[in-house]
Amino acid sequence: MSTATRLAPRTPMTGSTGSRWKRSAHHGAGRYLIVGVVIIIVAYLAAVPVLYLIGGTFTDDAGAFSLGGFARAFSPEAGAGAMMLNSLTFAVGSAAIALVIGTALAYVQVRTDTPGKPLLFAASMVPLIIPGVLYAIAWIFLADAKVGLLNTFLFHPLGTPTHVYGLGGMIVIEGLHNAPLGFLFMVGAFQGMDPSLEESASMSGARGPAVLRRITLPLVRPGLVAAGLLLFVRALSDFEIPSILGLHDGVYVFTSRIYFELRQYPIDYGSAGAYSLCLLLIAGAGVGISTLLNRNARAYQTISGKAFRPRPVSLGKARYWVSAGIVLYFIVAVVLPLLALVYASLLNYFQPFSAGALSQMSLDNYAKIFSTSAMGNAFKNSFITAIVTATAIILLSAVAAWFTVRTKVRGRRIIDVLTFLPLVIPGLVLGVALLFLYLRIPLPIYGTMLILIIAFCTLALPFGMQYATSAMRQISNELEESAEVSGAGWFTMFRRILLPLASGGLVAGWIYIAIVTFRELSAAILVYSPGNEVASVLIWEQYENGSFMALAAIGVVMVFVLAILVIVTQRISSRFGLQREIS
Amino acid sequence: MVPETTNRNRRRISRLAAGGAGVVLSVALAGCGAPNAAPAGSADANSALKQINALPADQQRDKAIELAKSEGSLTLYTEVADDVSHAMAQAFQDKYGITVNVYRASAETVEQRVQQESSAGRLGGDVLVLGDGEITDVANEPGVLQNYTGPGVEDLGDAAVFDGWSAVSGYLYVPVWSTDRISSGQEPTSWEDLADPRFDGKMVIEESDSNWYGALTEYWLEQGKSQSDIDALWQKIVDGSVVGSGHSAIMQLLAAGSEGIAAMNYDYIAAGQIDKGAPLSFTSEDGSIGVHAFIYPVGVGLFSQAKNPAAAWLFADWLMGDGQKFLTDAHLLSAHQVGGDEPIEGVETSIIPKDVIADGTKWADAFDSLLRKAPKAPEK
Amino acid sequence: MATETAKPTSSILEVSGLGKAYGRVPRGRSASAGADPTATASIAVASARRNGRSAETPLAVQDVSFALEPGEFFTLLGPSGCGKTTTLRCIAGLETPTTGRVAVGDRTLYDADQRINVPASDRRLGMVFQSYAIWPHMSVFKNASFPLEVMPRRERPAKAEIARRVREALRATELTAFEKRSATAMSGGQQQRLALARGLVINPQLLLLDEPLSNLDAKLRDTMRFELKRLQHEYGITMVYVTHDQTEALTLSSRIAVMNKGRIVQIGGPREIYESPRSRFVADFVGVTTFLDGTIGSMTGQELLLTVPGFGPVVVRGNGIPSSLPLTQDAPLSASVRPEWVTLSEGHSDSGPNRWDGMVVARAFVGESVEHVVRVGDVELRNRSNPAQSIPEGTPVQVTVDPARIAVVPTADDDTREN
Repeated sequence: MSTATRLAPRTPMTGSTGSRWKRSAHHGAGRYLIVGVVIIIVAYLAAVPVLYLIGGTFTDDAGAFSLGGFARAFSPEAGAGAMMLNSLTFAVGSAAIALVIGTALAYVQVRTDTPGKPLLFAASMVPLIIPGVLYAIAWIFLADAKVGLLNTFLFHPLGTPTHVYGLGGMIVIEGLHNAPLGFLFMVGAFQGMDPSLEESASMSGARGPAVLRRITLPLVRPGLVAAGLLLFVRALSDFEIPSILGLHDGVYVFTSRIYFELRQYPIDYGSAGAYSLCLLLIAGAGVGISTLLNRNARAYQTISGKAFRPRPVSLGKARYWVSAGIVLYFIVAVVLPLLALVYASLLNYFQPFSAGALSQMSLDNYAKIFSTSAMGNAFKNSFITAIVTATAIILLSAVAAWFTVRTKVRGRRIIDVLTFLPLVIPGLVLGVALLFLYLRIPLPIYGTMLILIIAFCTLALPFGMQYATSAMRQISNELEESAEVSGAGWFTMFRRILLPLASGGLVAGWIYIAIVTFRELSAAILVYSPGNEVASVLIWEQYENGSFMALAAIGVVMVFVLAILVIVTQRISSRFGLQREIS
Repeated sequence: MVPETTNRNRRRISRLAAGGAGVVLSVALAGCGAPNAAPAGSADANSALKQINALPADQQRDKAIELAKSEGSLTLYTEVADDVSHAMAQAFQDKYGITVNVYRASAETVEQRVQQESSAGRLGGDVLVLGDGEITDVANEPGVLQNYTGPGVEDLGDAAVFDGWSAVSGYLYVPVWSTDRISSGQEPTSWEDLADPRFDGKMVIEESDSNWYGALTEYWLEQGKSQSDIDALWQKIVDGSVVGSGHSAIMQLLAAGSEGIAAMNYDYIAAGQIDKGAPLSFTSEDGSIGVHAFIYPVGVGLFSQAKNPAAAWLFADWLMGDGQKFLTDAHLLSAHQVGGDEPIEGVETSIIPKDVIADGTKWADAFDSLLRKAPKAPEK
Repeated sequence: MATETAKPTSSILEVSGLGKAYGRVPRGRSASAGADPTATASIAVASARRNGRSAETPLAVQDVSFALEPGEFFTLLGPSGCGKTTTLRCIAGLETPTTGRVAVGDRTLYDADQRINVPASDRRLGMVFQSYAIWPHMSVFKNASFPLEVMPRRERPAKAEIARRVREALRATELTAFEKRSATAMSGGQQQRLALARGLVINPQLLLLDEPLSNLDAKLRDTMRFELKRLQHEYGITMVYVTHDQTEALTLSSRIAVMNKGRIVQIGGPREIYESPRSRFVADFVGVTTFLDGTIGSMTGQELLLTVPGFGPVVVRGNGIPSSLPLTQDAPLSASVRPEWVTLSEGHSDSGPNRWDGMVVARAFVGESVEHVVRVGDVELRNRSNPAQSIPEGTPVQVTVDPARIAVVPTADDDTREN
């Protein structure tokens, strides 16, 4: 019968003020110690590679300052202009594709009443599981102009063969591959939208498309921009797809160019560093623009303190078209590449689908890879690194996010920027930096799995922070304060209030980091040592070895394992999510 | 709202941040410093090898076995294909009971790793088996690599002995084609034949084959062709071809029928695929090879900073003996074939000239420009 | 069950037989609704009907019918989960019922049997949401002009006309000064008025309001109540209002429908609902009351005698006795006694019915009144007195209640589940 009233203003606790101050100071020390340690770790992880990069770029072999790196990198013969143009076209194009697909899927997932939602979620995430090298090769199997399966089945008879190599293929394949990233991000944006904003538009007379155009999209614009930026930088930093699909036609982007520089003898760090710094600058510019555009983002935060459930938009007749579209996407982005991999894994050498090919199918490749202990070992290492990295980074990010979101200490912006840095460092360059660093320091890091974990942690940091800060932002201050008033110290409050409340976002972040770490390659290539291989390195070795069929077999196993991992973690996290709803 | 930040705590944070920055900076600077001096390990390595080398040839092996067994393990850095290198590792392990760890990566990657590790004094490998171009680079660095001089190379032809390493195997540079797309009788009969228009639109050139470019150019020069003739020949070869990356990858494309002929590829890869039934060939019907094939040696060297020098010596020794079988089974050449004391049937060969390897960068740049200027073949 | 038969079509809103199940709409029914968890209903599954029928799908709304005359202020009142918001959203078209019919004026908006379901965007109704739903990326003006701007081209007024009507709506809600402001720079009360302006700008036949005042603080709520009343008189617009606050319902409405567990329990004017509740639930939910549970001792025409164990005889007279109740000897029945009709006197008089001896056990000064809790026998009665009468605890008093001011309700409501 009574309605909720504002909280009464806080009354000071009774009891001697002296003891209260003492307790607060004691807890204050604990809190800042933890935060301080975390800040140091973050700064270390993020800053050292960049410092190394700058150092290595501007010094020559003798250690003296030199601009030779830039001179060589941007000399006329180097063809840097074309390379940068390719990079930008590639990044923008694939980001656009990934954003459109990801947003559409996210909207359908979160805001409509399409049936089969769990399936849709899984389907949208699956391309994430497949390492870039596998995805690119699968698409070569599918779409190579002469022997691609799609061409021999479909397009040759139609007279319009597809080309998978070159800029066009790179953009499309990268876009398909990164769509899950866009999807994940936009799901968060759509979930954070108060559905009554769209309902009131309906009530005001706007039909479906008008609501989408005038209300929904403008409201998620900050999310769109942020996601687009993330995808742009991601594509810029990607190595596997552009190198596998681009070099065939001589199309270089920053990352493949850097890899090329790193394979020369003697290694031209200056030149590689020059390209890397250039890449960093472009990515940084992208961030700057996005921040400018997002100045009003806070005002758009639409989640009130009350819990609510987004009401689905009824699609009516359009539902069938939407479902068909989703199925089509799933087939193109997931089923076809996987089928191609399975097909190839059963052959001794690649050939177009034919009766002859059928008769030659066998499980030889699988027998071969299972007979060596290398694969079991590699997968074990992949699991270990993925789990350790995800857990460490999520915990680290939770504390760091609390620091940047909740406190008003000056300089917390620096942490924000620092954690963003690894995003713009290509995995390859990071590998070089870490290698160089840990070969010099007399710590037992090089030659162990630790160096791999450090590399993966560094790369995962921006994503952990992203998930953690968005999870923290959604928790009202009052929830934290009521714990404080109840007498909980900072650590207790963090552990028992903030972490559980943020658990939805943190668990999602954990899953994402674990998956991405599992498939991470370019950072691992240079820093692994025998016995410490991870599965992705194994796959790359096969690629360099030219054993495409064995590669396909390992790839199939890897996707299978990852799929199970995702399903299991999804089950666990949905129980988390439910627990939060019952409040 | 926010837990009150007293001035004291603010200062605490600032101090922490400053301290943290200091730590980070000093670590970073430490990393950028000059490379360490030669590490302690090398002293032991040299002494073990000195011991072995001091003995007369027939006693060296036993001494090596004794020392190697006490070392107990061995790390091999190599570019040789996975199945071959693992098979060899297993066989060596079975014979001597010494655990073998294999680090297998592409030649450039192995070379880069060696470079990194040795300049930091943290070398992880004991023995190196690597192709000519890369192993020469490694050997050129002072104090990194030394040759195996045991009984296994006693009767090895001089051509197979290099500075700091010896050839333990090798393979041939030959054109390889798809039998589905190049019918019998249409195969190239010489390198010049590649310029023939019948291969236009069917040929793929591997982008990093500058060794071949250099060796063939010099060969033609020796044959009396003028530089302008040679340039014209190369231009015709490149015209109507596409550029590919990776010899194995190209082999897959050939086998699938996506391309018709690789201007140059490795015979052992082709032979392996043919074993699996791929429609490929690099010989004419009678089994002979028309072109003047170039031999690319694959060498073995011992790391001076090795932790297990005696085991390394033993492995190199084994490679020259029992190990050869694994290599020849994989269609690679034997050490003696590279050395010249054993003939290679059905083909005229010569080893890639040392100066081509030594001038690697120059040839790489020249080859790169040649390929870039090439007009792209129309996509089909 | 208290329902009203549909009146002939002078009514502006006619709802008949509205029903809606939780969860998925069964196949073959009206247009797609999909999974639809209602915001205010709890997830707990209700137990099966107690009168022996097999368990049915729990219903969020069941058998809801009413008809409104133009200009009415009609309130759906009830606790959380009673179905009032669901009913409102069914009228709005934001949710699809499973059975029933909704008509506004001479337009049928929904008819289950005839498979009619007009989408929300075509219903031309105004709606004010609980969270106001003001679009943050638009200015105040743009928020208010939106409904006019999205009209189909042939019906859309000219720009100048739109501006005029928007300004008119802003004037009515006293937001003229904020016209150019960004919608995010407004306080809660201002946002709410903007939501009102937006709802009114198309001159709809109906304005639907979903607990619009619940997010405001007490003082503002008070002010806004009068604002709403004033607006309604100025525009003469029919309002359908949803709230769980009975003070709002009583002050604002011309008629109230009290809802519980998906059904309408009673419809009537505020005074009728308050003074003549026809069920225990209504008596308890609206206002404060004390129940005296007893059995019928005797009945004579307009007078009823209740025997309440542990208390004493209670006489009830007049129109507090509804004819619909089973009035047999010894049947259980309850008296509902409002605190404002419980009179206390420190003196003792024997004349007249309904006098009991008791003792004050608690007293509270509320500002505009003093409330006492008086113990009589086993029962504690609530009393509200003029502040001049403030009786300390422990004082013996005589309690009197005018027999004409007692309502009689069943001891237990005959719907399936206990409160």
